[in-house]
Amino acid sequence: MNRRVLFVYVLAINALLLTSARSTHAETAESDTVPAPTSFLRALDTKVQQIVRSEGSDTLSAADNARVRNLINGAFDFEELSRLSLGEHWDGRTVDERRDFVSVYRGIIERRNFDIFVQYYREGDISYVAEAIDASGRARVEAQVPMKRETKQIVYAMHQPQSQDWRIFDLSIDGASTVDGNRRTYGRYIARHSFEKLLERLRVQLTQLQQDDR
Amino acid sequence: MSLVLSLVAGSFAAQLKIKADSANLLPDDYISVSELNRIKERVGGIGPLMVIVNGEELSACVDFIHALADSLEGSPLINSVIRGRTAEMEFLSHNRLLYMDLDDLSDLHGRVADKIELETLKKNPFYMGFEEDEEDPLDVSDIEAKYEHYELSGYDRNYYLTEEGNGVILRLYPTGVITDVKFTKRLLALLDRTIESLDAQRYHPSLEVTYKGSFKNASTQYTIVLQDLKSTAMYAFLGVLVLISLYFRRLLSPLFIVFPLLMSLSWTFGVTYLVIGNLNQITVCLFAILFGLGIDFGIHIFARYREARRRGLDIEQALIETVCHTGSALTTTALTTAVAFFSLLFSDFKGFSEFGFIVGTGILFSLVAMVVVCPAFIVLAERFGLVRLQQASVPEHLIRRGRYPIPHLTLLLGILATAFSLYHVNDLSFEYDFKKLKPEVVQTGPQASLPDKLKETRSPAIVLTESRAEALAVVAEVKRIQAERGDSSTVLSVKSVYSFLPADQEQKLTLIADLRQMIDANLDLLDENDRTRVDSLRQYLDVRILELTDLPEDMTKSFSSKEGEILNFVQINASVPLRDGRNSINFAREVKVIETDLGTFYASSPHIIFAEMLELMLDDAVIAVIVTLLVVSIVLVIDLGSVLSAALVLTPLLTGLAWVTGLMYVLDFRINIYNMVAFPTVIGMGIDNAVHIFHRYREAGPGSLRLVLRTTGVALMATTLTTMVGFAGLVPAHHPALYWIGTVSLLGLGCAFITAVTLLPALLQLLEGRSD
Repeated sequence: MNRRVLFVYVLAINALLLTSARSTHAETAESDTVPAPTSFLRALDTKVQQIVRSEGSDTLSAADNARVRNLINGAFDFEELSRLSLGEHWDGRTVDERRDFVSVYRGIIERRNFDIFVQYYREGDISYVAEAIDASGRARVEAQVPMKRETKQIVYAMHQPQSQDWRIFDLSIDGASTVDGNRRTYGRYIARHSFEKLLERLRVQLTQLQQDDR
Repeated sequence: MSLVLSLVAGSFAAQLKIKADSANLLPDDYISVSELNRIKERVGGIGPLMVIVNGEELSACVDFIHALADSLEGSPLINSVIRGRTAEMEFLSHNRLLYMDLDDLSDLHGRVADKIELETLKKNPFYMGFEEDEEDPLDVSDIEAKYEHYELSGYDRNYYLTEEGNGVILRLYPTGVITDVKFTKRLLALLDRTIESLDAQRYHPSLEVTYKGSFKNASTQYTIVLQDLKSTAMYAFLGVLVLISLYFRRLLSPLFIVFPLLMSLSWTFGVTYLVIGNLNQITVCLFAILFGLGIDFGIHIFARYREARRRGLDIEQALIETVCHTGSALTTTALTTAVAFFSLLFSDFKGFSEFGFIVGTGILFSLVAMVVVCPAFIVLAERFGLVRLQQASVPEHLIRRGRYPIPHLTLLLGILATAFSLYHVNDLSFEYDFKKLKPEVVQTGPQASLPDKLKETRSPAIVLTESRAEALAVVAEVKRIQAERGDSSTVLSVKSVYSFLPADQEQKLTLIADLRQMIDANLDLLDENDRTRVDSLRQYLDVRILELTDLPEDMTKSFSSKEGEILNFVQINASVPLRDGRNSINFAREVKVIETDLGTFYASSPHIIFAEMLELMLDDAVIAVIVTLLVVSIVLVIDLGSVLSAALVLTPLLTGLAWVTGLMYVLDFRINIYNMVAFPTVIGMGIDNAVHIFHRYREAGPGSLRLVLRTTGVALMATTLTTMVGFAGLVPAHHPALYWIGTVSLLGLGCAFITAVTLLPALLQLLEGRSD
């Protein structure tokens, strides 16, 4: 994976880790019930941070990289992320097609390279600045990650699928929403080609990543 | 007494001004005319005087333009000299984002935002884009193409080139007004002198210099009308002299008639100066026409006098017979004709009213001169032995009577010709092409057309407003009308000087500021290639709100007064060719009166004036013909004491008019605003022939038609020919107004004469036979 691609992602995760580290006590106190979205994020930060800090260099070992990826991926609701990314095209898909799409999408994300995480995690000091939960139970958590030259604005869109723990279904960095970006890209692609072609294209991408892993 | 009177009147006549502008054919109280006069007074001319320098080497043209501009700058006749558009182009280029459409600027802003978002997303591992398939948001080539006129290069960027690209245009804004003939002449003379002294060939042997624009057109029009005035008068004067010398077969006889006639013309134009003050492009030909027309009275007087003397009467008896008989008939015909012409005074169209006034007055003065002054000359000439008219025996042809030989055949042919003419009368079309009604200017030098942008500024309709608010209100209202009419609108564009300021400046500046902030904050996201592209945009982000004073002079000049002050007027350009009168009428109807919340405003321009003239002419022409016929009929009934007699006398005239339309159809002539003037003219003059024939027939009694034709008929031929010579003087004129009045009047006079000496005698012969 392109190291630059991970830059912002790392910032986001970094923010999770740093905040998590500072609020371990509160996390413990809340652990008996479903934590608030911010607490959930802080807990995730703590776990990732422990892995990252255990490494002395800017890059993670393959094993730690896989652990970080698992933690991050575990915090995301890929089905919701996929549903929103497909937008209007989701409704027209069969159950199998939806399952295939989520699976391929998740497969690609799971194989993305997070090496650059560590490098930027050391620069940033995340702070959660706002949290709001709407009537439908969807949360919006705003965070800031001060970097050397600028401060990154991160917004998490979260919900609790089937009364489970909080899950992230959209991540915006400096106003650029993952879901919106994906939806535009996929929408254009489907309009020009078809959903089948899109799936085929993503499968090729996944196959490529799987080959790279080997 | 006559001489003294003539000298006094002549001094007035010499002060007559010539107004060659079409606007002078409409009354001054017409809003479009008063507005155009206000515009000329305030703005000077509509559009600049353009000097076009053509040549094979553009660099030489440019060098010459600069040399010419250097020489002309500082002249008191020229307010400013615009060499090119460097300043304008630099200004527009620097402020290009402000001059973009708001939608395009928003689009540009959106694309930069998209690019930054895309670059941000690319760093988000959860985003899965297919960048290689995506359009590059920073590809703004389509927007650049739309505004590529800010990126002109070479000579095109710095100068206005001709449409053919073979010449450079220098724009001069004079300090005087277009109606000031002396000023325009001085200006063009200055230009001629300067160009000559610079010696264009020294720059390149192929260099040629021509002028275009309203100042040049006005000057050309005036020069042509003045030339026509002189040439038509000269042709008429010489032609009539030759004709009457031949007719009387005496060299001195013309002088008995010409001197009194010249006196009457002096009185006529003296009165014209006192009443009207000027001649217009139609009445300018009246010296020639009145000369040909007035000479008729003299011919009749002299012919009758000579006839009486030949029959053996002494001078006194001959004069008594001449004045009592011919003078009486002449008074009737003169009054009929004069009243017919005076009846044209009802018209707002000065081509009718002033024409009618001058001709009516001229006819009356000619009558007085010929009945009073001419006999005095004849007596003097006889006393001093300059002419010898008395003969020992009366010539046989002056007493031989006889019947009109072929009345039935004449009537049959007349009916056939009339039927043909009336059958085709509806096939006559109207000439709406103004270009064919303006003097043709011979184009010298190579083909050099003005670019559309300059052409557009040549003949806009102008609306004078007094403030920015009024100018904006007028622009908004015209745009509303334009939008409401959609494709049927004749408006291409409407602008005031404020239109040169970018629209929606505040919204655009907000977008530009945001764009700048967005780019500055996210430069790190962009790769080197994108940064280069963004840098080329950043140079245009440093802008501020623009005011009129920020605009370069090149841009605001066409909205400046002759003193250089920026004015609040509005220019409306037409989307249709205004040379077609129908388009002009539609354009005038669309923009002539503009109602806004701040009041009512009026647009005017030479084309609007022409359109109004056309509408007025179309309305008044038919009325003029009807009124003239009606007045002539009334006078005839009073004079002849019988409706039947009046109908008989009118018949050849009406038939002659029908034949004119038939001949126009055969010759493929179109009716136009000028030759329509000829119809009431022909009615007024053509009736004379029939009146003379009828009077003489009544005087001579039944069985005298051959004698009538041999005496009065021949005299009528002479008078008609002299009148026709007067009108023929107009045919070589350069101005179509004169050409068309001359040509159609010639046809009319010819037809009226032929019908008077054929149809009328034929009818009288048949009536005579019936009464027998």
